[in-house]
Amino acid sequence: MSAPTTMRSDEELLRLTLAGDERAFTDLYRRRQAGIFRFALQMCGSESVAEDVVQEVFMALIREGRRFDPARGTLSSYLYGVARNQVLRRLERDRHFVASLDADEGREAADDAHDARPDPLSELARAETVASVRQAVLALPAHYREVIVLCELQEMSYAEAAGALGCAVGTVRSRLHRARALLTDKLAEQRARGGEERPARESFSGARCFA
Amino acid sequence: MNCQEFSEHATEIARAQVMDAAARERALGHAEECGPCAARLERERAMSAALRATAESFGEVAAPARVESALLAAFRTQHAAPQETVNAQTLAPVATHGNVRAFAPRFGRRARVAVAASAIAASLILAFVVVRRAPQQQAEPSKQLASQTPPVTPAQSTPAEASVPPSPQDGPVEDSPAGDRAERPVNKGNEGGRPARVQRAAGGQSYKKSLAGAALAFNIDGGQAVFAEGDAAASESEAASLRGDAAALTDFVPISAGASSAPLDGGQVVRVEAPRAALASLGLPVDPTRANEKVKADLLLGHDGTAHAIRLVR
Repeated sequence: MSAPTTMRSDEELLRLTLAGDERAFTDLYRRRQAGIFRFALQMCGSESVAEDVVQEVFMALIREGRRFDPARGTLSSYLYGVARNQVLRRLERDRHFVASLDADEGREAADDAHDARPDPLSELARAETVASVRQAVLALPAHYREVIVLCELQEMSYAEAAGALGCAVGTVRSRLHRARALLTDKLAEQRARGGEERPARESFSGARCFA
Repeated sequence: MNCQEFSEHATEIARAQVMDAAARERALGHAEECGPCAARLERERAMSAALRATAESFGEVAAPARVESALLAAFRTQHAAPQETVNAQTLAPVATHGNVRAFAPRFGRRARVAVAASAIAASLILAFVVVRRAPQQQAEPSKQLASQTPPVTPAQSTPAEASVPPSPQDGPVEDSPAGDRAERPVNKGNEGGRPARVQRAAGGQSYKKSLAGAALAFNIDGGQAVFAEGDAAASESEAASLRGDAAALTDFVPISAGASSAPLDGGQVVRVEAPRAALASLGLPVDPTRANEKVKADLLLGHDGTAHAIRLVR
C-alpha cells in the first residue's frame, strides 16, 4: 500500500504529478506555494505579481517538470530558481514599480497594523521598523535583495539559498554581508529624512502590498 | 584578532550562525576591547532583530485559493489531452541557470524556429513517403485526377473535452509574416487561453494551423478533415476555412505511415509541391498522362511532424 502523498518527498510528488496524479500535484503545490509566494512578494512588493509568479512557477512544473534534474539540486531550489527568474524578468520590465506604489496604501496598512496590536506604543515602533526595513529591502539592487529575502526573510541556509540562486555558497555569504551593509545605509538614509516626516509614513509606500 | 578579521565574523555572530567556537570567542573578545567593533556588532544585532521582525510580519501569507483552482484546471487539461497541446507556447524556455530554465514571453524566436523546423520535417516526410510509394503507383495506373474530382464534403465538428489553463499573459500564437493573409481567432470559450489561429499565406503557398490553448483537433474521417474543438461555432468556422477553400481538389486522404483514425489534437496543414506520379501512389486520383507534372497538395501534419493526410489543391 502506497504512503499518503503528504508523507512523500517533493521529488516523489513531482514524479506522481507528471504521471497525472492530481492529489500529488495538489500536495506539492500546498507544500511549496506559500514560500514561493512570499519570496515573490518580498522581492517585488506586489501581491498581484507574487500571485502571477506562483501561477507561472507551477504551470512550468506542470508543463516542464520533466526537465527537473535531481542531480543538480532539490525541487525546492528548482522552484525558487524558476520563481527568481520570473521575478527578475518582472523587475526588469517594471523597473520603477516600487516608486509607483501609492503611499496612502502604505499608511493605511501601517495604521491597520498598529490598531491590531495590544500595546500601541511598542507595536508602533515595531511596525515602523518593519515598514522601514521592507522599504529598504525593496530599494536594494536585485542581486542583494534576493539574498536578504532568502537568507533573512525566508530563513534559508547559505546552501539552500545557493541552490536557489545557482551560485556558490561563498557568493551567497559575501553578498549577504554586502547586502546587510547596504541595508544599514538605506535605513540610515531613511532616519536622516525622518526628521521632516515620520519614517513609516514617508518611506514605506509598499506596506499594503505586503499585508 | 584585528578589526578586519572581526568584520568577517560579525554578521555570523549577529545571525547566530553555526561557526567555529574558537573564532567566535576571539571575535567577542575583540569586541570587548574595541569600541568601533562593539558598535558594529551592536548594529549587526539590531539589523538581525529588525529582519526577524520583518520576516515575522509576513506571517502565513500565501497565494489565494483562486491560484490553486486555476492550476488544477490547467493540470486536468494537461493530463486530459496529449502533452504539448495545452498552452503550448505559454512559457518558452530561453535560457538555463543551473537546474532552472528561465522563461521568456511566449511566441519568441524558439517558437518560430519550431514552426519552421516542423515545416522542414514535413517536407522530408513527404519526400520519404513519395519515394516509398512510387513503385506501387506504377502498378496501379488507373487512378485519375482533376476534372473528375469529387466535391469536397462539409466537415464535422465536435466539442472537445479540453480547456485552457489561465495565464497572466496573452498574445498571438505566432508572429505573422507580412502579406495579405487572413487570421481567424478560434479560441472561443477558453478563458485565459491564447487564440488558435488559421493563417493563410499570400499566394496560397502554405497553410498553417497553429494551436496554443485550444484543443482544436483534426480527424481524418472518410477522407474529410474533421475538427474537434470546445466551441462548436468556432470549430465550424475552422472547418469552413478548409472545406470552403476553392483551391482544394480532393478530400484529405490518410497516409498509412502516420495516419490514424483517432483525432489529432493539433497540427498544421502545409502546402507542398510534388510530382503527380508520387501523389497517385498515396491514393490520390492523378491523370497518368500528366504524371511528370508537379501538383500542389496540402499535407496534414501532427505535432510531432508526422504526416497524417494529404489532399490535392489547385
